Order: sequence, then C-alpha cells, then structure tokens
Amino acid sequence: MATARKPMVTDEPDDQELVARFMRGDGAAFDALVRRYQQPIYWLALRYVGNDADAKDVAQRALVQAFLKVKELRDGASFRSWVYRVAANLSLNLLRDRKPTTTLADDTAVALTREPLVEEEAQKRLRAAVKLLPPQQRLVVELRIYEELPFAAVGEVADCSEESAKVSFHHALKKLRVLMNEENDQ
Amino acid sequence: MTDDELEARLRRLDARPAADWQAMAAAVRDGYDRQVKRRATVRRRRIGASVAGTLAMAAALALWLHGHHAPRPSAGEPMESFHVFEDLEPGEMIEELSPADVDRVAKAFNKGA
Repeated sequence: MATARKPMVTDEPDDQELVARFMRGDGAAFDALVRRYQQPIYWLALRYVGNDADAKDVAQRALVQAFLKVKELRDGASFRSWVYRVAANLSLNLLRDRKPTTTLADDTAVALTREPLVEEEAQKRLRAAVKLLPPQQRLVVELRIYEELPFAAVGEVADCSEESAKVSFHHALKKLRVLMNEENDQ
Repeated sequence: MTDDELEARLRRLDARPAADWQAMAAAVRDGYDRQVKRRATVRRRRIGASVAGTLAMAAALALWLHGHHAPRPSAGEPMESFHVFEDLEPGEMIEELSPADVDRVAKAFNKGA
C-alpha cells in the first residue's frame, strides 16, 4: 500500500487529502500538489535528460498527465509514486528517441578508460556509469539515493516489490563498481 | 569501495539547480486546462457524431419501412367493396360462402330466372 508523502509542515494536508480535494474541483489542491512535486520531478528529469529545457518539458508533461489520470488511482496516497513513474517513463522515452549525443559518448569513453582516478575524474566516471545502468536499476538508484525514498516506495514507482527494489539496488551498485573499473583496481 | 562510500559518491553527483518554479507551476496549470478543454471538445464531437449516426440510421430505417410496407394506393374501387375469389373453382366458391350468402345468391338467381 502506498505511503503518503509526509508534509514538511504538520498542518499541511497529505497527498491523499489533496487528491481528494482536487477531484472535488478544488483548484488550490491542484496548486499545492504542483508546488510539492514540481521540484523533485524536475530534478529527477534533469538527471535523466541532462538539460534544463527537456527537464522542464518532462516535468510539466508528467504533472499534467498525472492530474489527467488521477481518477485511475485506487488510492490518492499513491500520487507520488504515480507522478514519479510518469516522469521516469517520459524521461526514458525522450532518451530513447534522442540520437546519441557527443556528451554521452564522451562520458562513456571516460568511464571505460583506465587512467588513475583523481576525485573529479572518479565522479565523472561515476556519472557516466549511472547513465549506463539498465533503466530499472537506474530508476531504483535515482529514487533511493536522490529522492531518499524507502524501498517500499521505490518498488511502487518502479512497479516491482520492495524486495525486488532492494535486489535491483544491490545489482546497480555492483554494476557501478564494475563500470568504474574498481574490480580491476583491487 | 563500500556500499556506503559509493552511495556517498552518488549523492555528491546530485545537482538541484533552482528554476522559475512559479512559471513552471503556471505552465502546468495552463497545460492541464488546455488538455481538459481539448478532451471536452473531443468528447462533444464524439457524442455529436454518435447522435448524428443514430439519427441517420433511424431515417434510413424509416425510409426502408415506408418503401416496403406502406399500403399501395388502389387504382379504382375501394378494396373492401368487392370480393375476389382467387384461384378457386366454382364449387369451391360455393364452399367459401356462408349459408346466408348461399340463400342470397339463390334468391338473386331465382329472380333472374
């Protein structure tokens, strides 16, 4: 079962209440949900697509789609999972449709070289390695590391069980180490 | 590198630049309103097309019924004013008549005779 996002301020209504109010035609509830989620959704999209314009576009489309289909939600508390999932799917679709860019190629090249690691280069390799993760593992890493979601919520967004999310996260870390050539260095 | 160290490195990759959140919220509101209006227009068109289709089918059915089942206008005498014995032999004609009809025919025959 979904866990409603805990509001930062105690008197702020939770997602379930806001979704219910929105479905009754309350425009203020719509605005409150947008304010709550536009930033994390934009940052999530930005990490995927890599530029401001596309990230804004993805964030806006994700929120609009989430509101248009909010009636399909069994539980208003799962609005967060819903909107994250829409944003991740839109980002992946955009990346799939986009032709490979030189930036990605450069990053990949950096990731596969075996020069001595300095801190900055290590971070570059790590950033490139994250981009090379399979979509599901990348999503789990994004949600766990950057959104700090519990594994149960990660599973909801990634459409898998909590255990599967944990396993995906474990495999993702393992793969990141391989991509960063850490195993060769040991 | 331990899991914790790798996770810490991943967190350091995170960038959360500021954006014009008010403009973004307004764009989301505009996009939502536009989509709702567009869906309403599409729904109205579908309903209109459905009603028009139903009316057209009803009109076609009415025309067909009118053409095939309407009573044909008679050219001369009204149908109920005379009786036609179709494909009957003279003996069968008499069998078709009621006793009162037979009496009436017999009286008319005798008068004529």
